[in-house]
Amino acid sequence: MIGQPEASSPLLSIRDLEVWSSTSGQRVPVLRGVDVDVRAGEAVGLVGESGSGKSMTLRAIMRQLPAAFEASGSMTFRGEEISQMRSGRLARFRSDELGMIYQDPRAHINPLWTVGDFLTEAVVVSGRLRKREALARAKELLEEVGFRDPAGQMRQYPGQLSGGLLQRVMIVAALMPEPALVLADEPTTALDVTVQAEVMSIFADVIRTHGVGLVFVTHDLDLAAATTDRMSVMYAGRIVETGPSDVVSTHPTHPYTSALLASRPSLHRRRALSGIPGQPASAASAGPGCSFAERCGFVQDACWSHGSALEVVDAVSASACLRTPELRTRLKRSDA
Amino acid sequence: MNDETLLSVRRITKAFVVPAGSIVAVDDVSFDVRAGESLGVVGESGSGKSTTARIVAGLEGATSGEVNFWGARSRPARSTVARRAQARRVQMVFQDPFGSLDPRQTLGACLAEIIAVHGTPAGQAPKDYAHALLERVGLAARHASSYPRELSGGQRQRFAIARAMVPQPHLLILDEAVSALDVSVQAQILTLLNELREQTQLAYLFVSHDLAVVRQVCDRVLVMRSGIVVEEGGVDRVLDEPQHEYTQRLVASVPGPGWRPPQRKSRAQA
Repeated sequence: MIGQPEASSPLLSIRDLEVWSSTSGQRVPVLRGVDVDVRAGEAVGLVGESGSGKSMTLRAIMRQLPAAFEASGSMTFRGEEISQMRSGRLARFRSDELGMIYQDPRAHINPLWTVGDFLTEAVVVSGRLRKREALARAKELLEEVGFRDPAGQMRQYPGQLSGGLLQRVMIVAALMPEPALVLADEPTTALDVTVQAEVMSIFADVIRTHGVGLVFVTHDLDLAAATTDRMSVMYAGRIVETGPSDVVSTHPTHPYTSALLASRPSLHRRRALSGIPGQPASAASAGPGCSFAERCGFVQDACWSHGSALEVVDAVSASACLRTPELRTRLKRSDA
Repeated sequence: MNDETLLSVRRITKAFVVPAGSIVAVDDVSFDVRAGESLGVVGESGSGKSTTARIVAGLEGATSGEVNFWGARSRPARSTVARRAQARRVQMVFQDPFGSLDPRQTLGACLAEIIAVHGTPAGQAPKDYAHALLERVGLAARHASSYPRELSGGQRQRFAIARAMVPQPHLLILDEAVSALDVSVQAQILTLLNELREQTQLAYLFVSHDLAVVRQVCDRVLVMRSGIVVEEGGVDRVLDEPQHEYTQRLVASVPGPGWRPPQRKSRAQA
């Protein structure tokens, strides 16, 4: 293991992250004022609809923003500024200290390589483990995620595995270098719901066992609540609400979170879905005030000019809504 | 079968030939849909739910078994006349309408083309009918001059529904029609589907992997797995008191308030 950080100091700390794109000749915002803290062993959810900026935040952490995108603000990993890492250090950060899990495993695995070669390549090339050690670790981890015959599995090709099994292989791949931080981008969205439940239970298990920090990106608020300790809800490139996951998912403090929860049909009964009028906004289309104002049922004049910074609600939660103090009791989830 | 039975599917089976032999995608499936009823078909990948929908739509023939509309045998249409008659019985809406819209055709021109084939309800001018359809699905008459790329995902799905309604079909087959939408937009489309059914005698065959969505828009539901119907019944009964082990597992896997992934029994599962 790499030296453990102090229990209180965050593993990953993001402050006032801004990302701007100038792909269309015009400079437009993509992320505004994003703050995220992840401690060792802690799971943090980033939840939002398309265009909210949740995946872009992960790409900024990895320093893998698309061309013509630029980031500003501070992102530190164990106190070290990620933007200041030189190429060798950055490569080591990505290969040894970060694990990535994506939505579509087939897009991130070479179909012509066996599972065993895929799992061991990166750690051997980076010099982190010798081939023999890498094979032993892969075998151990495959067993941990539920493969009964790891040796046999390592001789298989990705095409021979179902989506659920392949995603377990990707979990193993992410954990191979003993990373301190795992970034997971909708890791179960493409899976069937029974397989999702299975993979999530395995995933939650190994993340806990290995004590890694986790950033879990998803559009599914209930899934995030089941998997993470804290979560931040994103809208139009900003975090609109943050707090303990079970609190955010049952007693939201921001009208957007509340509306999102009221939009989702319930498994248990048919109910009038309020939906949210209009379309999800992007950071580029949002005005100077609250970016949710044009779709919000509680909008007031002040919302159009009030800044969207997070304000502390109580010891554990923060909301970007001007009216949170007065609305709080009315935003409670109806189907919880 | 009674007078109200719009669709009656009897013992349909579909086998696909593959190099290693054949795969049975749909295995002896039977069900009825009454006029104005909404029947959900739920299942995971490989359950045969989409193949079943395509057979009912006439896009594919069954290897064996029958599909009957209003008591008359329906087969994949071969002649133009038969195809038009088929279109007036059943229409289909897919997950991503973008793939079936001509990027160079305005919405109005697209509707006009279909109206020219199927006509309008008594006395209505084609243009008025097109505008009425757009408004019925929550778009505005001005959208007639829009191109598909100018629409959001939710608006495109609204248009796909409007287009399917041109021939005034009796049955609308929706194959994962709201699955690709953000939940705030999905809610709008689900509400629209419920409103449409209240206003007309339109019936739905609603194919989805999402049980909560099925609860929202269906009266009855079939649960399919590996080509077989494992459970069937009223949507409340099936989701509240699932009888089949697979339905129980499906219901238990859906994240909701307070949901946690099931505890792992042992490490050796795969």
